[in-house]
Amino acid sequence: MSIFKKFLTFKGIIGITLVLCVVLIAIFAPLIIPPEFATKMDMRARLSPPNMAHWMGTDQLGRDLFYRVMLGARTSINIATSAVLMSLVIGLPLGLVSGYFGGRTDNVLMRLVDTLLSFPALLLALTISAVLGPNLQNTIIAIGIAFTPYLARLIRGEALRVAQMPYVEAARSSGATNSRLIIGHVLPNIMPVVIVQSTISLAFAILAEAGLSFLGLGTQPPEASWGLMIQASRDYLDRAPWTALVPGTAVALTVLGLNMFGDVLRDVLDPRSQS
Amino acid sequence: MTERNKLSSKLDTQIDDPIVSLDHLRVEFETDGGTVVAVNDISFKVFPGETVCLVGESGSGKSVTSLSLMRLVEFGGGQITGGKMLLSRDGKKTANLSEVDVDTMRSIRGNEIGMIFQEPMTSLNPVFSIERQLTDGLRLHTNLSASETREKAIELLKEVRIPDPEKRLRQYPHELSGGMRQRVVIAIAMACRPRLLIADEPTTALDVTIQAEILSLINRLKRETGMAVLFITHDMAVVAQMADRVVVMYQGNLIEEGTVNEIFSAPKEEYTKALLAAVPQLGQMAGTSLPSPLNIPGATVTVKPPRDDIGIEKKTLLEVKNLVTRFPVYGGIFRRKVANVHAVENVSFTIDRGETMALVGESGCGKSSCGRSILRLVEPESGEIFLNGKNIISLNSSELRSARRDMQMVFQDPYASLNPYMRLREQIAEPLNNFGLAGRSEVDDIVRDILEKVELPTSFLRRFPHELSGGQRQRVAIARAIVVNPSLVITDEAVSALDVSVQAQVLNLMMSLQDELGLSYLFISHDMAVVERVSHKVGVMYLGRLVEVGTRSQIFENPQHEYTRTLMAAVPIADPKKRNISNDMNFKPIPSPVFPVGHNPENPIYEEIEDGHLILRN
Amino acid sequence: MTRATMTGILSQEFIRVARAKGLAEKTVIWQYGLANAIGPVMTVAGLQMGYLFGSIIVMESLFNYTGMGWLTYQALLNRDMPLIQATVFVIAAVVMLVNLIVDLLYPFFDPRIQLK
Repeated sequence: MSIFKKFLTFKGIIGITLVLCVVLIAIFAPLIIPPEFATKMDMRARLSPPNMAHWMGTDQLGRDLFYRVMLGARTSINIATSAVLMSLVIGLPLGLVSGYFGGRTDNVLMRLVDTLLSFPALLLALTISAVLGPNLQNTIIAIGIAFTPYLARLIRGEALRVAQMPYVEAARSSGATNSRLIIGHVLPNIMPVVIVQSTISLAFAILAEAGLSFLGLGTQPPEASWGLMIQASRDYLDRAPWTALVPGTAVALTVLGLNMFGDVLRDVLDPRSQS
Repeated sequence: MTERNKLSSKLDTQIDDPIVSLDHLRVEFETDGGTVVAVNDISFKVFPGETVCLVGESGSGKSVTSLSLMRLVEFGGGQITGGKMLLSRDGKKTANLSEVDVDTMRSIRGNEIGMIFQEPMTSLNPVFSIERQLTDGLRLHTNLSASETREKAIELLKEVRIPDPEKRLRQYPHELSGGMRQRVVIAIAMACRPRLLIADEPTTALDVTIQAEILSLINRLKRETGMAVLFITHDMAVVAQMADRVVVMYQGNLIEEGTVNEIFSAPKEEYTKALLAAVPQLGQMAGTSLPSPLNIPGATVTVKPPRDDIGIEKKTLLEVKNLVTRFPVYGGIFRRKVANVHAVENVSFTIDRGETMALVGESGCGKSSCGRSILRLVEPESGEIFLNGKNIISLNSSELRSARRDMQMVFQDPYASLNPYMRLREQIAEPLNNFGLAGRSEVDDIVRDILEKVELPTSFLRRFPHELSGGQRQRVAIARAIVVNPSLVITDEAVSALDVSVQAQVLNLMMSLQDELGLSYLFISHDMAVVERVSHKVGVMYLGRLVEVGTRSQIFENPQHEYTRTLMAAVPIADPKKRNISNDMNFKPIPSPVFPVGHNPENPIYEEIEDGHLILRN
Repeated sequence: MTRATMTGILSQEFIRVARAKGLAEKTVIWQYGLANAIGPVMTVAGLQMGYLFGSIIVMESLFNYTGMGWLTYQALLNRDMPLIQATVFVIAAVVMLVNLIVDLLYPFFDPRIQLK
């Protein structure tokens, strides 16, 4: 139970709180808040600063920013999580097989991965999105594919390291088949790295989604997402900065929370497994 | 002038005054689990010109004591919470090292007290040249000019007998061998002519021949400069060879202190007696022909007299013929195979049922590779391996899998040979499950049974590896190896990483298991004294070749091959009356077994001088 | 990342040896420690260049600088395939060049590594 104590650092508490808030909002907000609240346009109140009627102000169409941010959370989190999951589904087996078998398999697979790796991730995501046509699903695919190479490389490195450990050799000499070795022995030992990296990737995915939507190659209206909100606010920055600040802060806080949580998670998982 | 007076005038102190005097030292560490007292009330003195060996097992606090003397322990989170450490300095002043300020301490470090550590590989900064590392201490503590320090550096290298000193200055640590690196480390420590040299396990990581060289180097330097040496080790044989006086520590406490002869021939405390009983002494087995367990007090393993019927019919279990294993070396732009490491070169031997055959040699000789080749954990290039008549080499992968039921391996590192994420129950049961040898409920029974055999409580089944000590983990590793009832168990330096007393227990366990189950062992080790205790047969390896093989008494009492004799001469004997580390030993460095592709060494020719005693002649 | 690399290095034996020589803590950390850290840090810095280029696209559009990033963005918006290929190629080439330079410089940071 001392594991949980380690989370109680300053960073840990803030990190977990932020992440929990965002997750809860993403899950429950759409259930509590009727969707009209976010789409109702009130032209008389357009571009109004935070006040009693609209807690975080309104955008250029008079929509309440507070509710839009809350509802947008779900979209952004959804995209980010799906993208990371996708990169895991592709990258994990890829990295495991490559690292465990080594040799030519490793060479070939990693060459493939490297070609993708030499493209900056965001650029890759943008290109894929442009090619496929921007919508929610394709955004997920684009970000997922863009993040896969890095994850695959990382997992391959870890799998390579673990595959050479004496306990894997010992298990092999006690008659374990390759699949048992990979799934039963290598996989559990690389999980800490995978978990920590996933947390960090989530943060980047949210940023990526915001970036893509900002450039018009991510989620499209009428869906609400934080990136879209920032993009929409471009023309009104001088008059109504809160239109950008509200979604921007939401993104920043989520990324911050995830980073902190990931850091603490890394501290918790690494030394224990290596003791 | 008498010896003493000569020394005295050299040092500017009275010989009766200690250089360092520890007085009720107490050192604590803050950990997650509370305050840990690493050193509890230690007091002893070190006089000029003598070697004091601080001996103990892991956790004894010996390293912490030495680090406290240098006030380096604070960097690792330790705190000196009590006692005094008096250092006598020039002009008869004494300083209390536990209280001096940082600057004074810095002027003492590397200057009046020098320290060398265990790992020569990591003691040198990989990105700085040798010259720089030798001279920055000099430039700090002395007023020599740049060219003078360079001259001094060359002198220092000559003093530690490094050939070609001018060339070495420009080199980097990775270009030097392990033995040479340790010499450089000693040269660095000696640079400012310290009056006390603290050596923390300086030879533990070195081969036995290099260890002998380094030990004799330290002796010579001690004699020439009159400095005192505080030598920390866990190896009683080294203590017997090096010490004038001995201080025995256990879990932070000082157990016993005395001259080396007193400690070895008339130990007073129980712990000291137990420690000495657990140390295998080279030469003790002369005249016997069978392995015999160590006579440790409080042994939980019932020590049975050795079997004199090694299998009613002396049946051959393992036959290795002309085994060749090579590892490719890739290089060049296209990563082509440019050379081969000839790890195992044309090795042949046999092991009978219930017999222990030892493979000895220094690092890189191929003994580990040989063991792993037999199990085909690495693929041999050619040769034949017959286990119970079946040729292991010719089996395909699924046949190999089932053949492995009959031979298992215990690895060296008790920390890395168990999966940190698996409970012990699963790890021990795994071989049974892999081979489908038993149903669910049977597996549990068998596992419990085995755990009892290796003398571990069944409550351990629920635990994870990190909750166990090194010795306990090794017992689990042994349990895992014998659970499928193999005929052959290959142990690859299985006890090398264990404390002396734990090592003795595990060795006794192995011998009693051999007795009970009729196991054969291929015992791979570099420790000659241990090998002498446990083996029936011994094979000596050098550069991948088997240079001499015979029964244990043939090899140990009548070594014939030049290399075997060199090995025997270098092994420290755990008896202070039999000092064999003379002053300035120099052994041939071990050449590298890397040869260009296509190089085929000639077949070995053996001469049989007695029944079963073979010596390599080419 | 520098922090992580440094903590790894500072736990190594030669740092203790440096202190045992009596060197000042400042010297130990800055000279002995950092000299070892530069290698890995430079490598990562080279990789970071890649990520930087991703952000450039967003930045340039935001501030209306008509640079490579902005051009890439325009190309993507207009589905101008040849232009997309060209811009992406140029960016990728620059990233690879930077990483190549870091790789070539590595022996200066770490004498253990030799160019083959």
